[in-house]
Amino acid sequence: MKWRIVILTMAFVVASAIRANAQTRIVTGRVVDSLTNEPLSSGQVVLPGTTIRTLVKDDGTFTMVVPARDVTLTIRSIGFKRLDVTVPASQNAVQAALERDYFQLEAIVVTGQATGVERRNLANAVSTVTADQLVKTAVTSVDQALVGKLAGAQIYGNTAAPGGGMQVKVRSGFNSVLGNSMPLWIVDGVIVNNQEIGNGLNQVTRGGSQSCNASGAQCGAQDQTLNRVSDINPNDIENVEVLKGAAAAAIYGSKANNGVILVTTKRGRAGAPQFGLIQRLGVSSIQRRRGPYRNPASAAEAASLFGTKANDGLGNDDWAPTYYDHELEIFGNKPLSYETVGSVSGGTETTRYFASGLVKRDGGIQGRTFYDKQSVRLNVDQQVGSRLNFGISVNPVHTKRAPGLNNNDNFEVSMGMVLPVTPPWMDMRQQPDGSWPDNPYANSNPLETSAVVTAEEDVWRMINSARMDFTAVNSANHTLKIAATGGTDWYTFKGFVYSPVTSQFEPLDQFPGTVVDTRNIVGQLNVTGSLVHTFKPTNGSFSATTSVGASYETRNFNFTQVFSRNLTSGVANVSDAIDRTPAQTRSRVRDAGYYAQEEVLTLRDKLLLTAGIRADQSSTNSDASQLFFYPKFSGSYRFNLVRGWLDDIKVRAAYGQTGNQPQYGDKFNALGTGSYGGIATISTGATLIAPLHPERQAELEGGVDATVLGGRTNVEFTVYQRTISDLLINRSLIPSTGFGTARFNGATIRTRGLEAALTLVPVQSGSIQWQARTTFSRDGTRITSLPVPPYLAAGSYNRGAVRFVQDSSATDVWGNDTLPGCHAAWAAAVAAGGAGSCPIVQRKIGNLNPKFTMGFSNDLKWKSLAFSFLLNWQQGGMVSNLTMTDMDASQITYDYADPCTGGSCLPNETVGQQRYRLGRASLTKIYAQDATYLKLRQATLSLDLPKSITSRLWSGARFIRLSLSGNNLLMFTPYSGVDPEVQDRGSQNIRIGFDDIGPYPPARIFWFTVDLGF
Amino acid sequence: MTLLTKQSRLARSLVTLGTLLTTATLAGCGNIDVPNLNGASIEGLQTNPTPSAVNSAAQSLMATWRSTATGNSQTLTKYGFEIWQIRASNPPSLTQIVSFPQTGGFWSYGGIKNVGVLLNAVDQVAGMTDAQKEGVRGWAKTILAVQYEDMAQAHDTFGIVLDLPDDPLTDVPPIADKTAVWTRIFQLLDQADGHLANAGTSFSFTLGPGYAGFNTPTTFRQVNRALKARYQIVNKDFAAALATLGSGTFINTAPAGLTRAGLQRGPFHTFTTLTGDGTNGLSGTDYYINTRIRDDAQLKAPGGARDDRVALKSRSVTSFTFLGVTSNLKHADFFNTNLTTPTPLTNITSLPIIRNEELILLRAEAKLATGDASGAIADINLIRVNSGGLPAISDPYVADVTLKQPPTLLEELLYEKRMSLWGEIGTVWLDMRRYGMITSIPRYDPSFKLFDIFPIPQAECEVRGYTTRGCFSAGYNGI
Repeated sequence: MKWRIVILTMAFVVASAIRANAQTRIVTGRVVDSLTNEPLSSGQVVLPGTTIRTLVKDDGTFTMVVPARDVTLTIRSIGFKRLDVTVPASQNAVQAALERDYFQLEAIVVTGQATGVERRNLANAVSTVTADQLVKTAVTSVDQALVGKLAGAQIYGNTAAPGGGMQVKVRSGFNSVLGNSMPLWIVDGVIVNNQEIGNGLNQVTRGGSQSCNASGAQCGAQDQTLNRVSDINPNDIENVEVLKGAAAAAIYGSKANNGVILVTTKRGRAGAPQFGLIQRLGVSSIQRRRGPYRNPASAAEAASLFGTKANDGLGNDDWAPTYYDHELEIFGNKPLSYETVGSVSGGTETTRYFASGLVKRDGGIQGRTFYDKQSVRLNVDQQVGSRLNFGISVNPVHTKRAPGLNNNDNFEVSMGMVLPVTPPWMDMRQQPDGSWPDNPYANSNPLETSAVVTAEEDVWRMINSARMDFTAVNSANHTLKIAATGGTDWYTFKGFVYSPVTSQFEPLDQFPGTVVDTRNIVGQLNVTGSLVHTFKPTNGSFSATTSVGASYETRNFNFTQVFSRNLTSGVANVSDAIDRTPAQTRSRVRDAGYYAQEEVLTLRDKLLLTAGIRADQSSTNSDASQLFFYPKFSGSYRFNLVRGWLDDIKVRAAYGQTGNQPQYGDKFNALGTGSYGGIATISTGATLIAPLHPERQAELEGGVDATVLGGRTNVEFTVYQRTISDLLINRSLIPSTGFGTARFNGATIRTRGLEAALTLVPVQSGSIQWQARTTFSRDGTRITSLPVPPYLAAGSYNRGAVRFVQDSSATDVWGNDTLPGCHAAWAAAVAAGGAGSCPIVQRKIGNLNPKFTMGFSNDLKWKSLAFSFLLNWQQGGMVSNLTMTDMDASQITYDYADPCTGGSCLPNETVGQQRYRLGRASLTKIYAQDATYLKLRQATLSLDLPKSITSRLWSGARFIRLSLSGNNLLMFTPYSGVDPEVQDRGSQNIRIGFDDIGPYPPARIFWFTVDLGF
Repeated sequence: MTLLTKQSRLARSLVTLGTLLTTATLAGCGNIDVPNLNGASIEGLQTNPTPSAVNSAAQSLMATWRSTATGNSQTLTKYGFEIWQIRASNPPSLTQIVSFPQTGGFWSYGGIKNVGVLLNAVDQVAGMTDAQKEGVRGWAKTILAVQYEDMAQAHDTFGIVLDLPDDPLTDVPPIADKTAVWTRIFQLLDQADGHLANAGTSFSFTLGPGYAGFNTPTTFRQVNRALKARYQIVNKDFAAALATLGSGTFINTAPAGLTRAGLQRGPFHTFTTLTGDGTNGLSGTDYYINTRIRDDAQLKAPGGARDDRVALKSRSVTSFTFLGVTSNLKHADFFNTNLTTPTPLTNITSLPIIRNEELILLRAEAKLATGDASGAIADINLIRVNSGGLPAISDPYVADVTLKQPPTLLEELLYEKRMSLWGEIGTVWLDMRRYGMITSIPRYDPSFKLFDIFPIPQAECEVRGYTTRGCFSAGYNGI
């Protein structure tokens, strides 16, 4: 209904618009790069104060009809500084040389639902990553491509299985306990789903609950889940803007507490079609491994480590075994990966298109694991007259993935869990007759499991968006635009797990054979309508932009799973089973929001002041009709000094509020239903629920941006303080209340942090160009108000826990510890022939939040050779390494037999024995370890073939670029596991407790790329 | 002036547009609430209960009771070193039992809260007869007594909480001492017995197949009385236990009661693999049996065959060693009475609640304690002969060491209880503690600790102070 009204209104405005005509002339021009004199392939030419505008064609030229009088044209091109060119009435041809805008100071950055300003005026620390920075080498997902490139974001790879599985935390390691902790992802105006859905493997590994969490953000968390933003093709992206907190994102209201990530895809450019073809071939190999595991030195030692079993081969008198490296038998593959990206862009001034296609495979270092993606995109923009502009995007995607059997397990089937109890002296490989040897020490033979159990994820997805801009009024003083954007995101996730009856472990539970069929159907829709009015008085003393608008969103999912066991004929079909369990979780959320914003740019474009307010209602709140208000204010002032070494300096301050909704279902007090032998049962739940409303973040941010040293250096420095009140918490109640938890809006936390980015252009000449960028961020979160006694918010004392205590850090890790000196006393007592022990003290043992994170990227270009690399450093943080606990228990850890040195070792103890002794006494610190790392994320060396060779090879080619690149090349870390980023249960609000439990080891990939433009 | 006119016209059209848009949006989104798509509302039981809801809630107490019993069969049996949980990939399953007292288990008030909700609902429900309501009350209070008893056994002299707080957010309920706890347990059992007496001939709710023979108010009273007798023995109130056993329990020493089926007669917790139901966790691949059951078994003749109950309850498997513990015994399905071919306990093998065999042994124990050694020996012999296939012991008792009989009659009685009830209810740990003999339970490895009592959970200590009696932090760390 409302859209009909909008359309009617638009039609009315169109009809009433008056168009003036005057005597005209034709101006032609050419736009070039001032450094190289090469023509620019895109850009915009505008006659300010009129609707007259045109686009720069791919050969750098433009043609435009302008009034016969003297005119001053404004020419812009992305990556270059704007240039005003005066074309006297007597002159009809013009040449414009645009200067490079190294720091993107004139790029338009979003400030609202339908407004933006140039970066040089921006009052917030919005990070932008453009296409050339985003995709330097093959990247699987957009979040993976952002790693190390943003100040103020912690990005974790939850799993290294093909396709990955990432968690992005913006500006704070800790924003919410029960609410969403993922940023809001918006692609071309569509809010896209970023759910994590397990393929159902949990039913085989018994790793934990298979069901969805309250919000459905995760279903079957331990299945090495992939977050679904990964479906987007990173090669399609023009730029990514990150609104980090409430100060910048207030206009997104109650969904913006974790920041907003705005992804804009590439659009067509007027001119002859330009084709691009990128072909990449890659090979990967294991980058860091848990082993090699320690081999027992003798049959006696083997027996003491593993015990004795009937068929274990230990009884032979002449025991001189061949040792097998089972870890490499599983993870030692060097698979080929490939990626083919094709794109075409072109059109006329009124109709422009961009189309792309992607076919990709990432091979997995574990046999039978892979990630496949095929994506097609069509972006079309249509200008209707001079006032109406439509754009549509259609993006079908198909992804398929097999992540293997890894992560937590309670049935000795997952690789990391069963490898430590698999005898290294036994050949576990498939026999010539096709059979697999049984593992006498565990439920499964990992080689067999890896070879016969199938676990796959298959997603068909469609992300469509549309936008419309109508310039209702465009006079010298006023412009009025009506903008509408919206879109849908729809996909079907299909998880399929098949574990055949023949494997060693399947018969053990008396239900031989397992088939799990999982579906999740997701549908989201959002629409936003805005009116944007700009007023600029004739004297040009200020410009004021007023915008008002409304948005509506609905998000649905329907998760179903049939879990079948005891397969009658061994067919992989859920109905071919005696024991079948269906399950379903549904979710539906409806949100509506209304906003208004005013921006004033004055004092010769030096002062920008903004004020805005957003009002939101949501079905996730206990009162779905209540409106919650989120205001914002910001200001920036730009000093244009041009004095000495300082070129330009801007001071800025911003304040804003945002919210974080309760998750779907959190507000319901439901009865639990079950069955006892088929007899219906109902019982009350263990959670006491108060009326719920959104969490509220108030953020104050201030900063200084400066360009110094003759435009060679840009510094951005930001400090912020955010306070999140009404934090939704599940307070643990003492068990004797009969309840487990009480859920309510209670606590308040405060985060303070700073972010800095330094961009240097040390050398810039026609033949050598060098840019270096360093980002730094740190933050800390304190609990400033906690209306309940201290409680464990996540994890356990045994493995590391986050305990909420007022006036202390919200990311303190607590664990079991012992008093100083006790270990030495224990050792002394044992040395003296007695016995020892240490009483346990539960206290802080570390902090989950890194002390700081840094990114360091370099781009060097010499003539046609280019080299770039990206280093990423995290200092501090904590990971709980359960994998090592298990390895020590089996006494096969690589360093287990190294002699223990120091005062706290027992006589003749090895380091492994000491770790295990103290770990068994539940000394959490032994296995909750420092997560510091320095990673060489990527390096690329590329060569642009000279034009002479290119044209000889193929006259139609615009360029041919060859490159050699690598991902995940080096890692330096004190952490003892394979990767300090892993998280067994996927994205977690608080990442502690169940972190490293037999994860998929990380791979290093080398790529060879041919990039062809024609 | 034209500028002004233009401006005001523009402003007017802006306001009009904005108003239209906002009004349209508000009208479109006035009611955006979404109901719970995944579950039923609690209102149907709490504020406006229906007979169907009351019956379903009563039925859910079978699951409550079953999970309590599972705690006994899987945890108390470990503390009494009857069984091991050995899984190489999860060492804590073994090490936590021998290194640390379990602080979380045996402190479960969810079921107690649910009984309270049910008793409240049954007071309000329309459409049920008074007899039906009495049936629900009798059933619910019996299970409430069992819930308290389960915790009372584990926490013994440390005490437990009896009354749930009015305001769970602020109130910290007091921990009642052992005497008050047992007083409440017996009150509840007797109240339940009274309700059942007025409950007519059938329950309004349905009980599972394991309750066959005990699923009417009259027959379920027998279970209530049998439990009372067991609890009186726990409290060493032997004379009263003797009286209880003699009036209204299902003890049966007639020939029909002494067959294998007769000895196994009693209510059972059953398992299925149906959705929402539970399975018998003891069928898990990681449960092993302490080989002591085989090593200590008495013989039928010097150098002869072992006690039949070894083969009834355990079966030999491939030996497994882990962290110094070795075992080659696993649970057997004790409903399989063909002792030459023991079969594995499965995930749907039932778990006994209380059975005739135990009642006879309880009577023997009561008689022995009240000075009737001959009566005790007679009862013991009923079990030895019929369940163990062993020769009768002499009256007066003289141990036959060639048959591995223990020195004293009390030890002989405890042997019988161990062999008969072994692996079911944690009888070793409970009996040995009651007679002050807990330290004589062999620990297998001298470094293993033995815990004779479960500490108060950490969370309860945090709100009451770490020095609260029974807290791990107050110094209790096993023996």
